[in-house]
Amino acid sequence: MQDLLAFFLRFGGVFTFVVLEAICALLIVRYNDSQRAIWLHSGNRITGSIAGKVDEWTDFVSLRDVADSLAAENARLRLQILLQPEALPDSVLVDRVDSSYSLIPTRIVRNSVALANNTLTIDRGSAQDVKPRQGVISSRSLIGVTRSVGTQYSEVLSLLHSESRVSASLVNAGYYGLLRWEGIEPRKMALKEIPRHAKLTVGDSVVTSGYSAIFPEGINIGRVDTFWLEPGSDFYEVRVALSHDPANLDYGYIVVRQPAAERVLFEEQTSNVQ
Amino acid sequence: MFNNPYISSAIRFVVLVAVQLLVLSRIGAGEEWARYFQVILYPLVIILLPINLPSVIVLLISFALGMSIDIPLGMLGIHSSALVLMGFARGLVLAILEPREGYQVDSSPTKAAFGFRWFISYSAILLAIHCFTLFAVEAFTFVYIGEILLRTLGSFSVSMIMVFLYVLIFNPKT
Repeated sequence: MQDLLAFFLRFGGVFTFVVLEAICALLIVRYNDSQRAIWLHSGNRITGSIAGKVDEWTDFVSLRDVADSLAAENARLRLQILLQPEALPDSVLVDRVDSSYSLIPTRIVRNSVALANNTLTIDRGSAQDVKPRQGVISSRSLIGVTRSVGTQYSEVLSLLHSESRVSASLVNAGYYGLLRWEGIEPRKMALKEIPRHAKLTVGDSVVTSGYSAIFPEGINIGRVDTFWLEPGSDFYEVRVALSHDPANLDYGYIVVRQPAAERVLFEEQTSNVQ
Repeated sequence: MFNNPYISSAIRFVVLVAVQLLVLSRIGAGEEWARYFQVILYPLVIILLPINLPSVIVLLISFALGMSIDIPLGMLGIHSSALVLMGFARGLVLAILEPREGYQVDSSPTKAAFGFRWFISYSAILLAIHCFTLFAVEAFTFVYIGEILLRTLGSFSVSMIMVFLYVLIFNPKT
């Protein structure tokens, strides 16, 4: 016992120091108003900021889930617009409605715009009932058409592909033409076969014509950017600016048309118009 | 009787606490400048304790001294925490300032034993530590670090003058 006491007297300095300072701190915070106020205030600030950081982090971690659920909700709402055009008479998205279409939201996991033949990869495949030759649209324009389909991923033939052909119509002028990419600017498409007697205006909306089963009629593509007549030609050269930036795509929707398999098959055999 | 370091330390404890509470802490009471020039003499009790006293005892005496200042002033824990820190630092400062031939058993850290210069640097370091800790604990935040440093500087200066006078007048041997 005496040895223990001697040992403590010799080496207990740090321990005694810590204990006494702890008692002092307790007394200060317990019995001094201003110091207690500071203590409580900084205590709240520290716990508050920790809680804030935790909250920020969980928000960040769940961003992917949030984005996915928002995309699913967008698909549902967009489908409602497709089904109820009267409710939105000014919408350029759709003129007339085909209730046999539905949308599958998808994330675009790979994209290219710099090549002559660009393709994309989406994270939906046969597991989600994606099939080849289904249209893929963004919220503002067209993206492309599915080509090869895996179980979880699919390859999309971009609008910016030399083989892409989309039947498009001018909303105000009322003429139909063939939309293709000339391989120069990622946002500029060429609209062919607009006859010279059409009354064209810059800024006229370009939408899908519905002449193929892949895209429903009236989906927004872009606006007329410039147009001119080549000497001796009976058709305008029209340049269309896409409504979205093909280099900046995160989410899209796969357009599924349930009963049109026969029409797609038929058109596939007879023409290359998408 | 005064040659016994424990008795003289006990007497110093009582007298310095009384002088601090009855005289020094009342100088300029309520005046704004008094905040910046507090005369703090009671740490001399700890400063002059015998060198070979175990650090545990030094810390306990520091705490007791602090409480006997804190309780009458109604500032529970504030002087005590600053004094306990100073008591803890005392061992380290003594080790740093140890003369080449070492400390003799039963010696006290006084001007009489180690000379004026040694005693001034020894007591100045400890007093500075105590003043800074005291005002930092009183503010309880480093937001007002400028004011803490000003109060430390002012109070340390006037207190150090008092320590000078105390040592010159009483020249304690133990």
